[in-house]
Amino acid sequence: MSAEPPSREETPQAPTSSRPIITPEGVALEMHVAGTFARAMAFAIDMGVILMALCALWLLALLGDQLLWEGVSAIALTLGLFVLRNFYFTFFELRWRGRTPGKRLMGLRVVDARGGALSAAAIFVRNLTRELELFLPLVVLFVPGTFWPNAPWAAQFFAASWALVLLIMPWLNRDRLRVGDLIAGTMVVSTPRLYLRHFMYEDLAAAQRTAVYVFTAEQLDMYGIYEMQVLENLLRQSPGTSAMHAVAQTITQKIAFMDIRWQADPGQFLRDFYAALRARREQRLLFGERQENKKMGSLQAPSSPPTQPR
Amino acid sequence: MSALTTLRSVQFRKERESTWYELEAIVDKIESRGITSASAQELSRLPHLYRATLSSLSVARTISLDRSLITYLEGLCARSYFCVYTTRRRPREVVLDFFLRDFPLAVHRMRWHLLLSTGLLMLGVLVAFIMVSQQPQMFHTFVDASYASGRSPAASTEELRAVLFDGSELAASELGQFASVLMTHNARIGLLCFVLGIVFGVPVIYLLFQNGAVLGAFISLYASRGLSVELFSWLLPHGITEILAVLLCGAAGLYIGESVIFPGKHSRLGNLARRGRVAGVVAIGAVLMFMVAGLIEGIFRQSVQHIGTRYTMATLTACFWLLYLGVHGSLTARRREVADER
Repeated sequence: MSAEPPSREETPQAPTSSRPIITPEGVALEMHVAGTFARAMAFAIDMGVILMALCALWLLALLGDQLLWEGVSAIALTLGLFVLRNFYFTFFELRWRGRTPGKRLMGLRVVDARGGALSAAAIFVRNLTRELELFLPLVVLFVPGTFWPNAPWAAQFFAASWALVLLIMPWLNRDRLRVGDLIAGTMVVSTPRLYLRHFMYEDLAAAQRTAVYVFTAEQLDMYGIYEMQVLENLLRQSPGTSAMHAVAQTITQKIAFMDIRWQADPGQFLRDFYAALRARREQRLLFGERQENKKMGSLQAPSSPPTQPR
Repeated sequence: MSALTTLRSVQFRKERESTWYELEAIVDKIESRGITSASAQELSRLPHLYRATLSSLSVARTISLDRSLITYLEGLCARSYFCVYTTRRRPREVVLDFFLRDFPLAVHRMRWHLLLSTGLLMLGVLVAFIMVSQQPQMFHTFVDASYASGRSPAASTEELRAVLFDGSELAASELGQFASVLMTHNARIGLLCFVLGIVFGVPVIYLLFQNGAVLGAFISLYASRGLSVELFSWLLPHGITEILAVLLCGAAGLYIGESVIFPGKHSRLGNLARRGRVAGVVAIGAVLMFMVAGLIEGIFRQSVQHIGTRYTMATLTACFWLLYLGVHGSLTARRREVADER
């Protein structure tokens, strides 16, 4: 049974790194730290929105100049720029619980790094510093003279390199925290919409009854849970025959599999192997034995082939 | 290989799947259209479904070897966690809480840092005042030529006086422009002061001292021409608010700096995060104070020339901040302590 059409079965993006937060129920949830690219994209989208808002404000202000008095536009633009620059992010993160339009589109979200509720103060703080860690370093980079005029060159150099460190801060730590995140104790995580994929085998027992190949317990124990899940991913992607053949080749060598009919249809072999391996691993799990990884080396070929065709 | 009945993990998924899909539908709805879009019935089901799914996740982690199932459950639990545990507060409540409780309380918590930043500023004032009084040419050491805009020891007393009572000919619209530029400029400087706290507070100390020195140099210059009363009437109406805001930003910077240098029993980063929020509340308050100061400076000072009125205004602002931040702040703090003890 599956509620989802096959077209929605995309593999989720590989997360950069993750950090557990403990829910009040005592379950650790892995939060995937948002990637730099996704965050940059979200920021670019937000800046686009700000620019459009400024344009709209400018047009309105021009109208105000005509209707009210000269100079309205200047006031409106100075204040508008200040408010948008400093409070756009704060407003949306308060309103949408840690998300701005850009973050929403990219599936990102600001969370409390310790797993508590995201407080208003934290949102204020993480957005206060944007000015210093983004706009200031950009000024330093592109118009160096205006940053700290009339200062000795050593002081200028020191201040400029310090400003640049602020800019690259997210690349200097594992959780991609910028200065604002550090001060506010927040982090940005990625919570994309995932879909539950089809059963690999709805009825594993039935799959085993129709299986062409049979494996011994010894053969199955050569592989652990990790390899099984890699195999699962491979089967779900249904790659070409040559790739399947290569994988099947590796497996048959390691487990000393003697029945050479698999070469005609490596896909069938891999599916059967997966079904048998999954059944074996889950069965052993019931006895408290959790084999995570494969065993080293490979099996020796027995003198007489143990597998019989059905 | 022994014959198997249906795998436990498959059975488990079949039994619980419908709960997950129901939760997923509600979470989708809340994420795309806000919590108000969910019906009362859905909202009452949400916590129950969330806990059931969370327990599914715990079980799946122990018995299921289906990677995609666990990934899916983790994602779903994370998304519903945010729906269940993030409280949405109304903006009006946030604003009211900020003015009545958070801001005065945060100022109260860093009162010693405020004292220190005041001391640093005063030190700057004192040093510059003494030096410029003894040697008027030192004025240029403390004040940038572009900032002084003609106000220097070389200027005549009449010119200096003119600056203090200038602006009456400005039209209302120009006053508004002037005020808005002042506001945003000063607020940015204040924010800078706050954020600089993260680098051990050293730049904050420098900025406080330097701003004090500029002030001291001007006081000395005007005092030497017998214009002290006029200068303070020009400075204080907006200056009390503005200088207090500078001091608050400085205190916030020092508060953060201290947390990084002397983390005590906490980790540096943990301490930074705890104190950063308090300091941030103060910084936001200071930005608002800069705006008030900009309004007073740009509009009141430019249009009111009477010295008595200017001093009355200065006294009024001083009383207001003393009552609001000093008295109300410490009362709020005491009330909170009493509540904590209970």
